[in-house]
Amino acid sequence: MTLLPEIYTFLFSLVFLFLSLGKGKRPLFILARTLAVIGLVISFLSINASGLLFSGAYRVDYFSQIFKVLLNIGLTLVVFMFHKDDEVDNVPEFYMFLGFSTLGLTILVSSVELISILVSLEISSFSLYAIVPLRRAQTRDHLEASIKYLFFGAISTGIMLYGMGYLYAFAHSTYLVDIVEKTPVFLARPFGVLALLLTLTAFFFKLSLFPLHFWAPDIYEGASDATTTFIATVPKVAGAAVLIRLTMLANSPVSQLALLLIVLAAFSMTLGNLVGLVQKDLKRLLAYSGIAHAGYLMLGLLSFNEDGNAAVAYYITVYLFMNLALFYVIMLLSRGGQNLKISDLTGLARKSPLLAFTLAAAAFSLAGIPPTGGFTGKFFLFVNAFRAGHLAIVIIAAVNTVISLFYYLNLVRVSYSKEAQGPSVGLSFYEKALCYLFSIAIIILGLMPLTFMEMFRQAM
Amino acid sequence: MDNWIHPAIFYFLGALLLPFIKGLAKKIFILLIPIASIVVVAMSEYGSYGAYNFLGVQGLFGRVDKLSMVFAWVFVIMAFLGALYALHREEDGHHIAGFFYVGSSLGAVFAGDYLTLFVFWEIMAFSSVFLIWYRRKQKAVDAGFRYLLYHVFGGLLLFFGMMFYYAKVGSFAFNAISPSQAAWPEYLILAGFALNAAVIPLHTWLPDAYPEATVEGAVFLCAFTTKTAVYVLARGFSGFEILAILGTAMTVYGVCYAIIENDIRRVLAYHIISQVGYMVAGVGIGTAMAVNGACAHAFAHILYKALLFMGAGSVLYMTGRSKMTELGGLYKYMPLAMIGYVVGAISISGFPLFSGFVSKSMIVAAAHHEGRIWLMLFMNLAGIGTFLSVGLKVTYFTFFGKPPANPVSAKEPPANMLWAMGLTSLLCFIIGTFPQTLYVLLPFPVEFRPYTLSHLSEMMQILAFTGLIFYLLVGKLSPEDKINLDMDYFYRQGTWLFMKFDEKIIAPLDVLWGELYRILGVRGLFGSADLSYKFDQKAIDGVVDNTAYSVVGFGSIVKKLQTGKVQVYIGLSLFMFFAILWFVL
Amino acid sequence: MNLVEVLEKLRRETGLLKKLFYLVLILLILFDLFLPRGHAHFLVDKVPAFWTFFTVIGGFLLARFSKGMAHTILGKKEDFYG
Repeated sequence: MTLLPEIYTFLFSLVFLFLSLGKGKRPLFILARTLAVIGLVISFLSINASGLLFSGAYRVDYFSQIFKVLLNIGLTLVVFMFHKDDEVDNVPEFYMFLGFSTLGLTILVSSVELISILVSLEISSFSLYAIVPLRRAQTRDHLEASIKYLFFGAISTGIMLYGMGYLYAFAHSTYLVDIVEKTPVFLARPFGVLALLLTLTAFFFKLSLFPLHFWAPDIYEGASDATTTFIATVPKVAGAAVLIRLTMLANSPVSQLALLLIVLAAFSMTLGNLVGLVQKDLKRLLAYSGIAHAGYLMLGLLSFNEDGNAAVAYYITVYLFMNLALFYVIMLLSRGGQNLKISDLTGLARKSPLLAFTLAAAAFSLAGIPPTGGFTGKFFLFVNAFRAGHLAIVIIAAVNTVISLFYYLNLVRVSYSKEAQGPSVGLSFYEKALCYLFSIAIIILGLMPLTFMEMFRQAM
Repeated sequence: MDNWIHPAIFYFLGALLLPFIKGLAKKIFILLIPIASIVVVAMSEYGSYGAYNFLGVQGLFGRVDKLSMVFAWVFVIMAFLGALYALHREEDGHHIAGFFYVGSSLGAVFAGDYLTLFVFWEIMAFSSVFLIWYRRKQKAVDAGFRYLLYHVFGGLLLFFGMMFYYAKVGSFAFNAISPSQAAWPEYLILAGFALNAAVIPLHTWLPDAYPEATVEGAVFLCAFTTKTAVYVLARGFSGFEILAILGTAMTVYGVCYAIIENDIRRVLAYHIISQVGYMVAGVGIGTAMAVNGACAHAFAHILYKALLFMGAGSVLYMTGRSKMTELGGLYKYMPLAMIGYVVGAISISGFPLFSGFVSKSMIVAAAHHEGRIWLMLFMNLAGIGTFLSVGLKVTYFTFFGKPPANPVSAKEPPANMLWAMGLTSLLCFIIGTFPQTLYVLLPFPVEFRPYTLSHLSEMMQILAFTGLIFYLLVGKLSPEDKINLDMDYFYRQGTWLFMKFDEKIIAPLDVLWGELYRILGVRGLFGSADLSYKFDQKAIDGVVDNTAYSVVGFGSIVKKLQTGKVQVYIGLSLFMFFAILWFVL
Repeated sequence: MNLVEVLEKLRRETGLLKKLFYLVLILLILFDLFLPRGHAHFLVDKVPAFWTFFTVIGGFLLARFSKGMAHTILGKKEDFYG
């Protein structure tokens, strides 16, 4: 059964669709967790599946299966992070849309044909548009943010279609295989680069890369913690996967495309970090951090080879864990559903040493400090960009790392500072376990990257 | 791995196991770990151990040779003394941070390549900061944060230095670099190392953070970070002229501040800069004798500086005060702690029979031997300042002097602190009286004899007449309740300006950017929806009312307008994108 | 007699201590005058009692310079950085 993960994710969503038809509200988190874990197991089981389906439009290979596992890990962890009094629990539609969105992303990483890429991307996006406004403490600004997200998501899709049109015009086919054959010819022309770039736009949007980043701060701030957690992590994994697939169309380094990626990466990193520096709202800060990290990711794409792509895959894996960890801390701290200010972290080390530690591990990792995964991941990215001869961007990234240190470490500083105001935060056994899981994962990814790297390189 | 056990393993495993041990067993456990590592270091044989391959990069965990062993020896001894001194501390976290700090220092000392070194380097910074944060005062938290920023910045210098170095020579192997071949990658690495060695102008983290650390943490801090840096400088950068000059400048710079500071631990912290200056200068001079001197001085310095911090720490621990303006006359209450401090003070000042005499003079003599008379003169000038500040000023104003307006009645510190001080004092004495015990450990054969008549005469004149100066100027030297600006004034101002710029210019730009999209996008959306709604009404009405061509004509105008507008909006919103595209292509 | 009593006794005898101290200083200078100077290469080795002069002048300047700096530009109130 090559399509097992897809079919299962579909069923997952259907279960909640039927539940949403019924009346009465009941906690769903136990059911959701169970089903998500089964999905994760299934995705692991089918990791070696392979096949070419739907007249070659859909390829199941090691690459796609690894990303499916990552997507399922993301979904499972996100589902595990909700608790029963969370505002999104006992709303079956929420789980349903999460499922559909993941389904779209799952299909996306396997799609090797332009139209199926488009369709799967849209399946995923529409589900997200629907859950962004699901929030108890909704204000006008929050609502506006979701409209913005929808509107510009649609525009970026439009641009992608425009680019795809060009690709089709060049290759007379929508299959990536055919396009690859023609790439040396059309990438020699500026218009060919333009076509590829426009096609990439929608994924830049998903990753919140400059100049398509503007939605992120508003959405992060405007959507509920649960929704933000999902949007900030899982779609980015798939976005990175497709970026890898599409830049692999270029086969060999293309100087204009590389230069473009460099410029976008430089702006993205610099802007994200500089603006992140002055943020007061924790989730907004994470949005800018995400913008900066989208820039770092581009460094891996610059080398246009397996190593660089593996580095991107590795970094997005680390990114998944460190962001989930940070969001989990946020979710545990803001049980009322309000947005957390950075100053709300004050005295966290006293209130809950474990949460402070998890926060520290995640922040250190985001800042790129050994021995966390963030360091190892950045190391791979920088090394690959460096080997490809892109010295300037590596230096820009270095300077950016210095700038970003300031606000990541500031989070840790605040959490270790002053006397605690307010009661200590009690964590259940389950919540503690999840905190440990995140911290350990971040450190293991930092210390033992070789197995994962080897896996990713095989997949490329 | 062969028959060599990395001593750092004990500390890392010990740190992980510590939370599971309770009561008396925990205290024993805390002491056993350093003892185990001392045994392992004692049994080590020279060689290379623990080579590994990481993504095609050759790494080496254990380069055991004479140079690394000197530092390993003093590190494990110091770890034991520090653990003993901190034994009364209840929080596991403090001990764990200490263990990680010591373990990573050992890891850095034995590392044979830059990558391994770098990882341990960073763990050092991140574990040591907890020794500051556990003080739990807002000042300590802030100072720790600055400390961390400095060190991570230094780590990045090192990181990028080593990356470019790799690109240049194709290897991460960490070996001696010849000054004639050094280019900017090497200098980046050097800058990263220099930051940890508190070489001016990269020194400000040290006097900023150490005085804010916990009583026990400061004892650890003063030993490991700067001395690991001295080790890596000795390993990689011996013979760099810039180090000789900067090191000598540090010796004088440090004592100038030590003379005017008020907080005892800040005096000592500035004084670390001065002392590390000797070592850096020794490395910079680069002869066998000078490098020997740097290692010997590092060894001796770790012990007596720790002793001084123990003494100052016990005053702080028992009285809650560390400013000399608030202290005085403590000899009545804590004579044993005073003796500990005084042994440290006369060791650091280079009294015969104590360790400073046999180590510092080696570097001074090396400068003399090489004909670097100016370096020698400045080092001896710093020696005067040392005795004046750490030796006489602190001792006098803390333990003798006039008791403060609101006197304190302190007692002797806990037994474990006294034992730690006693043992350290003993070691200072042994090294000073039997210098061969130290000299056999040094990387090069030692021909230097400290106890010659001329050297004795030189040191005794310097010490005795410094005493005279102090006696004459004691009124002028009395401490004042102020802080003194250092170079970090500029760094802080710079940061502040940058933040203002960021807040006032960059962040609003981003908001503007978002607004642009909002105005062009969202309004465009609603506007076009509105238009098409009107168009629908008019067009459909028109058809229904059968007012044929004229209305259709009007409708088509609207239609054109409408579609045109949408294109304009979307086009504008992508303006930036295309601008870059155009710029690049 | 314990340590504290010894110290207190010594503090009462400052006059005697002072005289002893001056005696030591003179002896040190004399000692240096009669030191063999066979290996003297540099000025610092040749001049008798060089380190006495050096210490007195250097120590004085060092103390006055540092304190002078503290009193003019470096010294600030405790809460200067806020």
